[in-house]
Amino acid sequence: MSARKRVNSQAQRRTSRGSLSDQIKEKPSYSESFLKRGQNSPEEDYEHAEDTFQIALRYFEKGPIQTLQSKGKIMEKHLKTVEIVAWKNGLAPEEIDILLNVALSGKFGNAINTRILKSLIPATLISGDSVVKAVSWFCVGKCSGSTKVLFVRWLVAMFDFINEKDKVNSLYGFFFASLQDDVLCPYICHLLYLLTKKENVKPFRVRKLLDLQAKMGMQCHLQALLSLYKFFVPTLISVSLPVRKKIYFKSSENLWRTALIAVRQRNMGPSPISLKLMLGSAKVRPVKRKWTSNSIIPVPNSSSYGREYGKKQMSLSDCLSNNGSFPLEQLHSFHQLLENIHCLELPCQMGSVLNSSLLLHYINCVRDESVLLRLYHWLSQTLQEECIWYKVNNYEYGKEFTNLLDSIIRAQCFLQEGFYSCEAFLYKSLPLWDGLCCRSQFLQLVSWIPFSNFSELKPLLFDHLAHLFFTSTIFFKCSLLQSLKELLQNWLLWLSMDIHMKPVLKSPL
Amino acid sequence: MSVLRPLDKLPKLNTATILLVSTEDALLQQLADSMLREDCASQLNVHLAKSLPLPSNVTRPRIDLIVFVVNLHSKYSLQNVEESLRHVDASFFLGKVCFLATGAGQESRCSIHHNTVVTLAHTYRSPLLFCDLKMEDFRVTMAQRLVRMLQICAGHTPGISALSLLSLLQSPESPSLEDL
Repeated sequence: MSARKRVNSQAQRRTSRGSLSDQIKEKPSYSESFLKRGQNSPEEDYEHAEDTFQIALRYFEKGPIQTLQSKGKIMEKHLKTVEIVAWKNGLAPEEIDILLNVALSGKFGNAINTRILKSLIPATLISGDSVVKAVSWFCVGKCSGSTKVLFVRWLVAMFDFINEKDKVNSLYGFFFASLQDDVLCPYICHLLYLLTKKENVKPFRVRKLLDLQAKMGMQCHLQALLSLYKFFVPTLISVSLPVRKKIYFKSSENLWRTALIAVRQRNMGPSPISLKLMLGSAKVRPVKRKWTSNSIIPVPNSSSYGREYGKKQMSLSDCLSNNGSFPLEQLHSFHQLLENIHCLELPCQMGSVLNSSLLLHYINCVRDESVLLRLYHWLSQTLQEECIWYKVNNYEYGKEFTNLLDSIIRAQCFLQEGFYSCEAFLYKSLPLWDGLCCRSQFLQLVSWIPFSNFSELKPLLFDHLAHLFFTSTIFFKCSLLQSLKELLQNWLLWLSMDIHMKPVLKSPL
Repeated sequence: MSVLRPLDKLPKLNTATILLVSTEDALLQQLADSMLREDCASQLNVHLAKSLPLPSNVTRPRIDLIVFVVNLHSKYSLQNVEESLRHVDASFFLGKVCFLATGAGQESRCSIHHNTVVTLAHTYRSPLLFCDLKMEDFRVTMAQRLVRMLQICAGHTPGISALSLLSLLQSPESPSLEDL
């Protein structure tokens, strides 16, 4: 569905919302509208579906009021409606807000809550306020353990779509305290891994984490969080952690994977803001390449801009939290970047950085670890999901995957360094590679592998390449040698940079 | 003829013979078709078998390369390969055996762990290739690679023998991906 139609339907819905209670009385047999659907025109169909969806929403909001016998049937019908609409179009932020409240307030049974949570698929974004509200239900103690787990998993899966991450980050302490719950711990770790900023890392939290690790042993998820903390405060953590471990969280545990792909594709519809940005950044780009909008890589948009535009009046907390940050949508030129580099607000979806040369400049100057970590996390997830040989029968996605790889390579060339997530992805997928599909992209990725020990690289990289090398055509052999030569060149460059860097690093010590 | 030996027959002039062993009939047939479509200087014979030992009452040419295809989605296919391996003479493993694992892409559907096949191939000191045989493009490239290996194993490529190819492809114990 195009973005415009979606907006229209939302506007219609808003106008009709006032008379909803009347509609419920007027149409006691709304199931007929489903039966009649075949004869109706498509628009009417759509309206009917919207109506029944709104009724279902009201029903869940009010809670169970019917007598026990009819309750099951009606609820089933409403649940079905919600599920169908959610999977087809996604839910608007306010609808997600309502349903989240319902699911976590414990008005209904566990099974219903699970189904509601599973169908919470955003159409565009999720507001930070609804997350805060939902988390507040944790304290009431009305939702069961399994619902909590599912909710945290949902948060992790939808993290990229949450609009005001600052608000979620203000709950950091609360999430951290939940680490003690053995069942929640792995998922909370994943959430904290995504959420942690440098200012969140405090000595008492480090101590707590180390205690936990001593109690539970070397758990994969705790290791991930610890390594992140170590990244921020290397002086506080003396435990040795495996350096080469880069896949901490399995994406196969993501229940909403297919839905997320659909959302991403839906969001790619051109919006006026992104168009402006594309024009703006195209001026800066030295090579005027024709900009093809890529469905996998999101367009950059920051959290507060839409909020300020949508509502004239800002609440007090908005004013307080708005410490003069500069929204990305207004960033059009290199000059603006230079003026606002200290207060630039980062995009909600880090992947958008790849396609924007201005943001790449930003990443290059501001060596903020949390930015890079967010980018790496996004990259490793996306690469794993989009890689063609991980999904059979989706060969038409091949072109998109090639585009994604191309923009990653462009970004790597721009920054003159390889991304760690690409490295991990290569090690994982090279054994499965046939040496033909996306050949030039893969070989370029190989040439950007970060510098490391030969004995470490040999089993991960060269052994697999040897298999391909000795069984492939002359052409492949030559291109592989070429890319290995480039790899050597890149390593030499890094080493020569290191020689210059080292005295600078050592002097304050 | 219960045990398959590599050198108990004389080679035929300019003929290379490959034996594909797997329970996955349809995939094997498609792979064989793709191989026969490749143009190759020597005459290509492709034999398919569900399992070893082969029936002894048939005359067949000397086999230059055995490929065991394991479908990672079915435990039975692995079992079958393990059973069949017992009917292969040790000298075959001097470069004339190769393992091919299919279906590694869809991890959620795998019932055999990736590492199991890696260890299997390592135990028999033979190369392991991965390929999703269901996808035509991947199958065609794999067929090309197999034909190239077969020509070496049959001795039709000057300057390199099956044993030297094996030593090039051999990798020491590689760490599992979990340690990455």
